[in-house]
Amino acid sequence: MGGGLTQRTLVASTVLALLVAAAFAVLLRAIASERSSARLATDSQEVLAAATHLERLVLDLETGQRGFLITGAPRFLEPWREARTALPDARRRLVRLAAKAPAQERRARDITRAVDSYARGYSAPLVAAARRDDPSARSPRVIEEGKRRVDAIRRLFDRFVEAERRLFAARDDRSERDARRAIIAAASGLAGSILLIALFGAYLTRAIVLPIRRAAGMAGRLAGGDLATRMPETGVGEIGVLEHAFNTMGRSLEASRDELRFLLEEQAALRRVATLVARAVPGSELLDAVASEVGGLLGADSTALLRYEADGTATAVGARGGPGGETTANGRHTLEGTNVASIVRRTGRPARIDSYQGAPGSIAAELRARGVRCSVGAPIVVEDRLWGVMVAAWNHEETLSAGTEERMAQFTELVATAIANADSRAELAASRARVVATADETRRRIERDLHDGAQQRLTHTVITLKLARRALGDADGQVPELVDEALEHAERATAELRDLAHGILPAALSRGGLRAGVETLVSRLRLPVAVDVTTERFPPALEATAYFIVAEALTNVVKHARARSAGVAATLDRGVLRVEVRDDGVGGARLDGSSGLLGLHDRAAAMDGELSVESPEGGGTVVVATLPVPDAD
Amino acid sequence: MRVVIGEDDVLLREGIARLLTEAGFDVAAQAGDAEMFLRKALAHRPDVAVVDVQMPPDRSDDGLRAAVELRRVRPDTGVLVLSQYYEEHYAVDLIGDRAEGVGYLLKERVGDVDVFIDAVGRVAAGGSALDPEIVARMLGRREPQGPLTELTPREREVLAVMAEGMSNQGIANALFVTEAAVEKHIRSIFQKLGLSPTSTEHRRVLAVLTYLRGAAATTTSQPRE
Repeated sequence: MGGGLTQRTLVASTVLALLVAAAFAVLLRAIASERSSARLATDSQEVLAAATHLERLVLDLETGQRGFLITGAPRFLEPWREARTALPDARRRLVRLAAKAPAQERRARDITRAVDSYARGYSAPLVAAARRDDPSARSPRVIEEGKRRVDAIRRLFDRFVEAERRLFAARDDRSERDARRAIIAAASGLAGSILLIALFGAYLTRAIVLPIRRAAGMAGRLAGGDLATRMPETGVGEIGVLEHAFNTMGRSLEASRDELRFLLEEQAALRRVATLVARAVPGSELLDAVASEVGGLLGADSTALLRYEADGTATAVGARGGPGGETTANGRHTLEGTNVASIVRRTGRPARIDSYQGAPGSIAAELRARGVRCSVGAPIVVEDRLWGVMVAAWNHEETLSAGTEERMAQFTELVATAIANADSRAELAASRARVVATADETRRRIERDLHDGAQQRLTHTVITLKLARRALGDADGQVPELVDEALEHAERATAELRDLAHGILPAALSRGGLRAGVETLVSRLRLPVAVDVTTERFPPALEATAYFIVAEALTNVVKHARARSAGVAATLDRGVLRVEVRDDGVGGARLDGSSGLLGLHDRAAAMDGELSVESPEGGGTVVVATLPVPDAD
Repeated sequence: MRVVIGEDDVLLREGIARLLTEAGFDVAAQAGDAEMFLRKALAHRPDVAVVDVQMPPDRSDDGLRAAVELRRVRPDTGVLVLSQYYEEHYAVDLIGDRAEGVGYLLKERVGDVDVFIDAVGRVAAGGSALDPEIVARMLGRREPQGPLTELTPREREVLAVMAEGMSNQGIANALFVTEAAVEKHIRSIFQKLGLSPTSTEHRRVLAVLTYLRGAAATTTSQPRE
């Protein structure tokens, strides 16, 4: 760990290099010595060869001179002369070659001196004498001397050769010894190197390869999804750094994954709540669902949504969790003392309480009794007005992250939207109902006014004119004619007014119900209409709506359908009044402003009902309205 | 003949009272609302009560209900209701299953003094009186192919007047024919309609009304002429 991997590698490599170098050095030295030994051996060979050559020259000399001495034939002098010529070179050569060993050199000089002495001092004069035919040349003394000299030279040569041979053997031995030593050194050097390499390899494997393999394994596991895997940090230097880095990577991946998971859960919960909001699920169901989602997401033991009332209390409108798994007491709580709901009410901002120990107020006491340790609240703001609060409570010690309020705020926003939507819808429905009710009321008023006022007056007029006519008796003239005319107008006016009143709001409808109204309506038509209407009575608004739907539909039939017959049916089925007007005309009616059916559609919608039109070209028309019968209040 | 009048329109009430008095009736009492009318009618026991359908307090059909009640309690009192406009179920409710001593006129019929007085008298005598306009409406709803279409025009006229509650004499006068001709027509009518002949006017009215109601109550109604 201390020196780092690089340093260790350097050290080990250096040692190895040195060892190998040493082994090679020994080897090289051995080779060198072997070579020199071999060379020396060769030299000895040469020396021996030179000695042998010189000796033979001497012999040639002696043979030559002897032969000449004996025979006196000049042809024996040929080899003698050749030998004598070759002697200097041979002498020099021998000395030169033997110079490598001082002892041998001395001997070689001895030899060459002796040879030279023999050649010049004996052989040459002898031959010269022989040539002169000097009888001393052949004297036994001379021959004896000659023999003696040659023997001496031979003895020198023998000693020289033997010495040379001994030298050669010694050199040979040495050379062999050197070779053996070299082999041993090389072998042990090699073995040591191999061992060192093996050790070094083992060390590298342990220090580098294994950790890297572990790291690869861990990387594989991380890739496979096991983010909790870690590796032991035992490595040296850079390896240790790598191991540590891998572990850090694993930890941070794990943390990212956990965070992502939580985010996804949060998004899923938000989406579920948003779906409920969009589907306009009824309030209590929605609020309970929100409480459930938030509680689950934050790991809270209980969650509740409270609505602030004008009198300083708060009503629980949605909840989940709590002791025994049931929601906390629904109902109103007076906001006093220290608790999240009160704080949020006061400040309009998110709030949290980490401990209810010693907190004043009955709510705080109740929470303590229920085992609540800490709680967080986020305000619910609907259209810039503080509507209520969402409170989550934990019964166990929990370090709540700082983002908890923000997380809750995402949900309270959705809740606020849902509440605003519901309010809008309720308002819209109420507004529509009001519009329709006002219209109906106006109709009623007009009809009443007509009846009370104009119709009555006209009836009076008719009666009076009739009486006047009667009073005139059988008289002729302008006056009776004028009275008749006036009467005719008045009667027609009465009839028209009656029809008008009937069209506005027929009395039959008010008094006899839907069936009576429809029958009267149908009786005024020039078209055969089958009537199958329940005799059941309904609230006036519903009867009026159903009647007007029938009236408008029949008007359309008369005006546009070119039908031969029509049918009106109204049946009550499981709390819904189903009104149907059909004809066998040309079809092609559309639910838009052109046919007046759109107004009926609105009217039906104002009563929470629906209107549909099926009118294929050439295939007749069916107008169907389904109106829920309101429960008696 | 004693009459009790129930009518909230003061002018009209006065007018009716005067007409009746001039015609020789004894106007025993007048009332301006349904409750008082019923009380007075029960108290004075008139031969006939003339009452407006729409009267206070509700002004819907209080008068009618009072008339129906009166008929129930005093079946021998004739009741003639006046209505601003024709509503079939007024006639139905009023007549019920007995057309005796019942009348239903449109208010403006008061101006046709003779018709009005005649109707009041018939009802007082136990007969029936239906406004011609109402009869015309009811007759107007005919079957596509029914016995009604087999009537000759003259017979239809006779039927109409008969449904008003007239006697044979009254029918003859109204149509300017002889009484014998009327009788012949009536026999033919009853035969074609499959009704058993009956001589009492109110029974005839009832028979025709029932027939016409039956025709109307089938699920088909036909165009008026």
